[in-house]
Amino acid sequence: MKDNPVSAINMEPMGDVSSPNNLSPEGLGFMCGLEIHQQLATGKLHSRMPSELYDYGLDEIPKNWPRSHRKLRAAQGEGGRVDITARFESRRNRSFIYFQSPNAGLIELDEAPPLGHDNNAVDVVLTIAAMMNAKPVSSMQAMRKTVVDGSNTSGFQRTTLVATNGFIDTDLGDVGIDVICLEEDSARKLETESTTDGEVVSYTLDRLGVPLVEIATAPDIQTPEHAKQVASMLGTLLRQTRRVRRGLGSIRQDLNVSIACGVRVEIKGCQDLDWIPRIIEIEMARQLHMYRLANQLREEAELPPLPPDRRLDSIPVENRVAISAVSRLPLETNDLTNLFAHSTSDMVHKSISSGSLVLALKLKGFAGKIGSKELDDTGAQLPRLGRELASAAKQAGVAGIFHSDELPAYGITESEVNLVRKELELSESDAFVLCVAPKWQAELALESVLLRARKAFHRIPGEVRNVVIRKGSPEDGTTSAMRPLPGGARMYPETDIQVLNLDSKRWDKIQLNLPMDNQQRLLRLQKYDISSNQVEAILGNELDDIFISGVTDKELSSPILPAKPWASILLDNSRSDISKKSEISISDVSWELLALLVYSKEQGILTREGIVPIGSKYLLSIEEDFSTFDKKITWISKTAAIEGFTPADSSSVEEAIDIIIADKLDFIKDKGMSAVGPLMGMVMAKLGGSADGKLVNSLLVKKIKNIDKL
Amino acid sequence: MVDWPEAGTAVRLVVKTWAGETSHDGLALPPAGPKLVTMKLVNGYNISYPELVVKSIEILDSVEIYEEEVIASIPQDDSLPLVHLIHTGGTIASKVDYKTGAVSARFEPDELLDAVPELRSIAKIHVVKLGNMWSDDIRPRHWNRMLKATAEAFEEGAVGVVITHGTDTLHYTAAAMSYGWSGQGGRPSGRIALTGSQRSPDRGSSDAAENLIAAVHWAANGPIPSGYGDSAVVVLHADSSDGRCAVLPGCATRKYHSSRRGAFKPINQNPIAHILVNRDSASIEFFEPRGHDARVETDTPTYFDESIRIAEFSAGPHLHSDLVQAAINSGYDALYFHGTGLGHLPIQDPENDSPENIKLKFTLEDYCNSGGIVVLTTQTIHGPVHLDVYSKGRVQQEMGIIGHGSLCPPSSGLVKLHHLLSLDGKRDDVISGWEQDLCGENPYDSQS
Repeated sequence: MKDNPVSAINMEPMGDVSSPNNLSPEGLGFMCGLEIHQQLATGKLHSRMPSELYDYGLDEIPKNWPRSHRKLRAAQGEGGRVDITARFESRRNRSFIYFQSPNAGLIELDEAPPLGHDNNAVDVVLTIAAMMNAKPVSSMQAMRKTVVDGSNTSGFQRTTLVATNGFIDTDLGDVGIDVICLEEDSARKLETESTTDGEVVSYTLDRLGVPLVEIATAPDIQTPEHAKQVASMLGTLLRQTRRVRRGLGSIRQDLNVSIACGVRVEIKGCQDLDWIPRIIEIEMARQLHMYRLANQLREEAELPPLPPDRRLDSIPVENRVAISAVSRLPLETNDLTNLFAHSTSDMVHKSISSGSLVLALKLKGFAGKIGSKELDDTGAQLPRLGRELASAAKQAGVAGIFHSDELPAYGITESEVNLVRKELELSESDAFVLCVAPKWQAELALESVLLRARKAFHRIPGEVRNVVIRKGSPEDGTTSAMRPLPGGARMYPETDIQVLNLDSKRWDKIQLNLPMDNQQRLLRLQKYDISSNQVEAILGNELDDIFISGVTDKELSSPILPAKPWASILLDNSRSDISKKSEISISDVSWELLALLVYSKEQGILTREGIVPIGSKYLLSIEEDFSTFDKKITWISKTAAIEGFTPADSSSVEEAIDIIIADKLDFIKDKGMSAVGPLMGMVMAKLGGSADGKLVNSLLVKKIKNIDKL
Repeated sequence: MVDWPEAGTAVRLVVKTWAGETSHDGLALPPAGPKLVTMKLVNGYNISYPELVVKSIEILDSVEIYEEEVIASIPQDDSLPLVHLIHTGGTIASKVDYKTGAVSARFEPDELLDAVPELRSIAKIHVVKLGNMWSDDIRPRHWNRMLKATAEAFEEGAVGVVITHGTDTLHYTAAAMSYGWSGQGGRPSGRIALTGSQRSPDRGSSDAAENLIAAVHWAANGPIPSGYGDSAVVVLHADSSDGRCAVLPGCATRKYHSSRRGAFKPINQNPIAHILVNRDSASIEFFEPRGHDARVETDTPTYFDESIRIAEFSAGPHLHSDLVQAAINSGYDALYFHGTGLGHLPIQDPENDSPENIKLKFTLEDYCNSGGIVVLTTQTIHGPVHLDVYSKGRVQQEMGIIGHGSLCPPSSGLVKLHHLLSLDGKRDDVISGWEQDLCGENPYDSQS
């Protein structure tokens, strides 16, 4: 825990919320830390299943995947007391369907106890810890972190603290790395369906248990731009291990953001680093707006104002405000379905005829406080209480709510609004919220709205928020509330897994074998005779270790390969084409085989065109004796000859070209150099695939050029 | 020796390991192992260090404590039928202290009620604590204590009893309750349901709450027991999914999987019913009942003779006669063999190369001839013991081995044998008792 070095802010916070990028981080007491979750490229953490992901939607799940239907029960408090979140969860009555993918067994189904930590995953995390100058703990204790949304079949996520107290060096100074943990990824959500009795959420278990490293920085980040830089540095550093998964969804960045007059919130779903500064600025504006709104509400209710810094909060004052908020905003809902029996709103009409109610909640003194949609100067929606209330309602699974600050709209007419106001006996300064849903759900949604409205009198709640996503990317950088921030108290030891003791030997070995950084890798590649494009592509595809082992006498069993042809085969589609042609998984097309094919080509026993067919045939010839290098070469040479992939010598190639050129002289004169393409095909056909395409091409070009000159 | 403060004290711990010096703030916990100090960090993680690396310990004023908003619990409805909840221990009774993160295997029975407050709206619950044991430690003397506790419950007006029990030997106890109440033709006045859990209740995914709700629902609202198959029932998850519990005959059920939900299956029979557990209610779905004679209600069960000892053997390539002889010499009251297939033992030597088989045959034959009791069941678990099919089976019958024709499952059979031996019976009484269908364990045909 770091002590906040800055003394409490006593001045009212300055700044215009409609211009978030002009807010001053320093002046507002900005604090920010990052949490990175990165999938590791190892097997699952607590079962020995492969970390394979199946890109299926709900409709594409194979019929033979077994499914289980489950519920979760939020753990109850002691002494017969039930905590509010537990009760909320149980009224929500969510149930879960789990699809058991081929890489999910009894452990993923929560039907058998977990196994100890995957050794490779532990090594990767220790490596990451060493790269971040962190201190590993001497005994690693797997913990259970309670999760109630069904994304873990057990009801908790297993997580192990591996190291603490590290740092990375950034342009704006060191950023502390508070904790490095090793945890299980969650199940992947497929769909949420709302039924008359509750919600049914479908998950597939393919991702459940994939190891994640979680890295939490200290709140040392100075500015929104700095956050982006730190996120990018951490991502680069993780990839340097070469043992993390890549691709969409393999890394997730969470932002912890607060300003002095707000509270720390955790923002999830910032996949795109470029959005980070904007998301942070908008959050600063939201916290500022909500602080000002709270003080406006408090002033009107003749309650003492919130101090400008959360560290100056007085618990007795907040308790008094809470009591006052409860008495101003009692939990009373009214069934107004009758008023809307002839509604012109399609949505309302349809819902009522399918059995939904229109339930109304009065919010005394909230007229004009809930707000309607307005944009800031960057085009993002301005912060307003209405979105927070809607998020609260969505916790109950409803699509949304209507509130009086935005009505009439959505097909709800002025006269209906007036009827509601009359029915609820509202004064000018009062607001109302409507929810159209099945009874249990509307009641729950409005209770949730009410609890959030009461909180508007206080500092914003510490919560987990989600970036609002539209079509796969952030809509405008705004966020919506997801759930309360979990307290550390909801964590307890995983008793099914033994404590893993770390000894100095393992740590020393990790430290002696730290991965090269990108600069070192670049320098290593630049020693070879390949183009800078190839260097970049090899690094980008993380193929440099393979490349190096081909051009040195390490590991790959072929003799040393020339750099250029080896680089180009690594970068073209040969490997995947061999996999496709042979219908053998690409991971089983070995680099050794590619090296062997390149070697054969360089030795003049195989054409460029022969690489894919001969490579594929090689994989399928399981009866052959490939026990020595010579036997392999002999087989390739023999097979290439049979299949017509032995390079023709250049004189016979020339002969064939000359015949074709003589035949098509008019065509060549007419088309000039663009005749090369069509002629190429004719020459290759004549030579029966045995010619080296490159050689044919260069001879053709040379000869046609000569004709052109005539 | 490090002077580690008592659990719950806020501390700052400074350690120096081979990785360097580092400091942690949090709450002290009891040590997780010998010569360790353990604490809970503010972020919730527990960490442990060897005492040797501790550099300093500083007591702090306090650290942030997470407080939950609470609401009042569900009150007990006194107009509901009385159900005794007899608590014996097991996974269903393990719990976690969220403040310190310590896990304890001990649990006060009232806490079960707190954890599943819905129970108070199904029945008026009276909790009786018999013990806190893992079920693998249970012995026949504990069966007698449970029989007594059920008799007392009915005497005090309970319409039903729920026994919470570890699952490992739950099926033995369920059989013991069945023979105890109905082995001699009677029936208990109320329902007896045994339940437990395969996933501990500290986790959101636990099957404990649903099992308990279903078991209490049966105890409070189930049919009046006929004494045949239903004197004691096992109520546990029917399969891997939530929402449906099976009601299984206590005399013909066993644990069939070491870890899954739905680990219990009825043997050679169908379940009696399923209990569907919904958000606000539970309902019973019956299977076709089997025909049986009406039985007379009794108020005292037949207890087990705690001095009885039965030697159990598993037939197979490594069964030797000297171990069997040792059991005979030690004065065991009966030998109980889990035979292969239809109930066979290695007692023949067709290739003339395995004299140990013949030795086993003579040992058993001599023992039976001297009045010894040898009973066969089948290690296939499902299916009948049938000693007429192969000539070997007929030889075993001629030797005096008991067991032909029984559909009584192996674990229930052990309890049945104990029950019969407790009646002061001689060999002939055990033979005739074994052939009977005492309480639904040995129906005339097999259903599964």
